Amino acid sequence: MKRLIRWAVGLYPPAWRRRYQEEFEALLEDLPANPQVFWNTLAGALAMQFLSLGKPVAICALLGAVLAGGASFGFKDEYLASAMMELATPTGTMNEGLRTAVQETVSRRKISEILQREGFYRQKAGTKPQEEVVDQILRQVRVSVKRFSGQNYLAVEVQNEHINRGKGLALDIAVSIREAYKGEMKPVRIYLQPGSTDRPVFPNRRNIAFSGFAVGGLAGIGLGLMQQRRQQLL
Amino acid sequence: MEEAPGESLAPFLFVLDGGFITFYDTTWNVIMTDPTLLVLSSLAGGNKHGYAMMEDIEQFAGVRLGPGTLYGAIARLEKEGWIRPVKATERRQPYTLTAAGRRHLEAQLASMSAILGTAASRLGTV
Repeated sequence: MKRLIRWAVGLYPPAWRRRYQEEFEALLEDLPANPQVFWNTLAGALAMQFLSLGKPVAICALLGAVLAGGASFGFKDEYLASAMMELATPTGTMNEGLRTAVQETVSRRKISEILQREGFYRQKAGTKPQEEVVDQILRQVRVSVKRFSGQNYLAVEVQNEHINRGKGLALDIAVSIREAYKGEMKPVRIYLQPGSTDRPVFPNRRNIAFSGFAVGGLAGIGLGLMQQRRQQLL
Repeated sequence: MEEAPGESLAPFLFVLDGGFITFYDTTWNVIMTDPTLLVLSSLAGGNKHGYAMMEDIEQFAGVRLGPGTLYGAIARLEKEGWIRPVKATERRQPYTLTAAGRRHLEAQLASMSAILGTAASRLGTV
């Protein structure tokens, strides 16, 4: 127990130890080496560490939150558009025919056709080559089977900077999948996910600012401990 | 057998709350706040080192402060200029109340007396 108490004394901040360690150890010599003394010494060390590091940690955390929150405004807002198709399949997974239809549709060739047909590529002309735009759109498209109220749906989701372009792409991809699929599928219905019509799904500025806060806080702790270590060496 | 007040206190049950340490008993009832007041009260009776303060506080308040709690209070009081170390003849370091510490203690006591007086008169005990 004495060794544990000595270890707990070593956890006090260096500045505190320089000032009080000798007399604190003299006090501990007068006390029984029991768990209560150990816990109280340990809790005192943690409280002192918090008080000594609290200010730089808080400053770094706030700075991190402000910087990360500010940087999040450098990203363009992206909206999520969803085209939902009712499926006759009873299971929540894609059957072979549907999977083939999705693979045929969510491909470079088919996306290029959709871009040409809808004139989406012309809007990007002069900025990026078509192949790059197609690759970018392929990264924005997600196709999955979702189940709502006992009904299976094929969800085509497109996350794009422009709400209407995303809706158009989602609809076109859904229609193309329907054309390519030979199985039973009811007519396409399109709607946007609740809350995504006017609110961007990316970037999540609150999460980014919170992440900046956490990273800043950790950096503050690191800096504080490094400063303590440097003071110890000096 | 009735338990003495000091024995019901788990010394490690304290919470750092806005720079102050609040003491709780084993059922999480607040026993008192700010052990600095206990240290000041102890030093009002004369210069003492840490162990003597712990013994004195236990005697007049029925509370046994842990070493971490005591030195947390001592560090804070010294920083505020309310106590200061006096010349030591051994490793045990005695402390004394400063004039500012005395004024602070008097102000605290006056404030507490006003609260206690109001409470007592409302309860009809005086």
